[in-house]
Amino acid sequence: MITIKNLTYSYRYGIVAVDDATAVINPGIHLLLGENGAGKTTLLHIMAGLLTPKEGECLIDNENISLRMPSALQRVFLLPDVVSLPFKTINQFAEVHSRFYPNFSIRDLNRNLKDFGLTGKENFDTLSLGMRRKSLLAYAIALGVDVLLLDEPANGLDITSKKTLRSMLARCVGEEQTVIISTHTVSDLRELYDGVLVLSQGHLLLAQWTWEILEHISFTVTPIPPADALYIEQNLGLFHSIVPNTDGSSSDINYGLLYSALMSNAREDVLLAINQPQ
Amino acid sequence: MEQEIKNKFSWQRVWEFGMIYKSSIKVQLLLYAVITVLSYIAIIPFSDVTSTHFIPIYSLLSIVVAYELYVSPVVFGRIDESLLAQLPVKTSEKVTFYLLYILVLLPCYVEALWYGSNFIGNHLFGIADVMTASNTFVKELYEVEVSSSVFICGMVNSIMQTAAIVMTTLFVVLKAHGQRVLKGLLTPLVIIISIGVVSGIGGFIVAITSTVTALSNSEDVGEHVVQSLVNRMPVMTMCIATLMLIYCVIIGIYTYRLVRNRQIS
Repeated sequence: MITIKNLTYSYRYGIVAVDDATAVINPGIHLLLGENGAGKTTLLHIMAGLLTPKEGECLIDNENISLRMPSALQRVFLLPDVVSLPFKTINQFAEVHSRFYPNFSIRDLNRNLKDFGLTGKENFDTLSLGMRRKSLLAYAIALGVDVLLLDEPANGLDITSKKTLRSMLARCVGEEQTVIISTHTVSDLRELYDGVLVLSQGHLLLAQWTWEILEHISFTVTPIPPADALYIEQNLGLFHSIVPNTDGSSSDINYGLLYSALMSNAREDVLLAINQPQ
Repeated sequence: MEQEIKNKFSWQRVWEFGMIYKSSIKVQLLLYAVITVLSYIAIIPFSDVTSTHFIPIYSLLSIVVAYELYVSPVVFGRIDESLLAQLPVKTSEKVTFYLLYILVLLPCYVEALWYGSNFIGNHLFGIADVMTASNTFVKELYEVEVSSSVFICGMVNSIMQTAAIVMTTLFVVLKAHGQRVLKGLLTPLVIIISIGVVSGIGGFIVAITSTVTALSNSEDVGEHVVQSLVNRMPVMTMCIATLMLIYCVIIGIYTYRLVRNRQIS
């Protein structure tokens, strides 16, 4: 579980990347959305202990990650967007790096690599960006850490590999694990998300379970715009809308539409509807 | 309780942290072995110690070997910073490894190679040992003896200066965000040039004052200057060594803080 309390981080010259963010992120797979420069990567870096917040704190299972104690750090792993390694193969890297993570499973690593069509003995220098990414993803998932942070994990992956990543996460992520995936391409892993976090200009607008969101709002596609719509987008003659869920009906969550709504003037209305007590 | 045990200093973690650099360290050790032995082999054609070429060439090749030590921290410059900062290793464990490697393990390795080469050269090829050769050189040229105290103080000074340069290079490599290896390779060069300039100024001042004294006492200037330098060396070198020691402690503290507070964005 990740607890962030009044988390604020600013860079030099007063640029505020994360502004007074508070949330409790329970085990599950969470989507982290936000526009460019919203503070997503900064937030992930704080959760991984790579950045120390100027104010507030970030706790991983009640341990302050900013203190960088081994007991906290071995529970978290952030796979950044770009990684440089002076190792020839992922197996060589795993041999020395995995010793720090007690839940690492060599069996999971081998299986994950095999799913991606790799053996682990491929020379990094000869691999394409996508293949390198796959190696590292296979390894990160096999670490079995309590909190796994993935920044644009599907970057550089082909369609088949994205499907493989989806099933790999579904298979490997345990009930007690928290995975946060920061991505602009929501559709890649759409079916996996249990929760969603939305950041905008450093402010954490939303941090909730998808089922909680769907209890309060519905996502509809209709030929005419609904009268009670909180937010509407027209696309190819149809109206994609967010409406209050007054009758308890179920619908699939449309992350793209939700994101657009939160980035628009309808933000306050949508948030009010989501946060309304039942 | 379990948390406290995990967060205690662990030599096992120091070792495992070192293993992260295994492949880079292997390359460095191999490269240094080749360079060190080749440097010594290059002396063999000039092994006549009575020749005026021997000491300068030996000194030049010693600089190559010394430079190996000075740039040893570049081995830490190739791993992704974010991976390193995330590692579940205490700051004290990381810094312990860094310092043990650059101040103890690698110097012992390089010196063993260099003096081992010297030993073999002395016994197999009859190349004189440097201590005797440099003593002879200075005595014949300036009629001045280099005493053992001067030699020892010189060694202590050399060790402290090497430690200061190595630790500065370590700090630069760990602090830099890009071109870490290149910056690590260039840092000792900048320091050596700076030391050279300062030493040159200091030597000039001593030479001037000694010349004035010699002239006023109607003594041979050259001999007086050299003797004056040799007499002052133990004090000068110990002062410099002490300053270098204090510098090493300060840069060590800065390095610790750098590793502890490193921010990776």
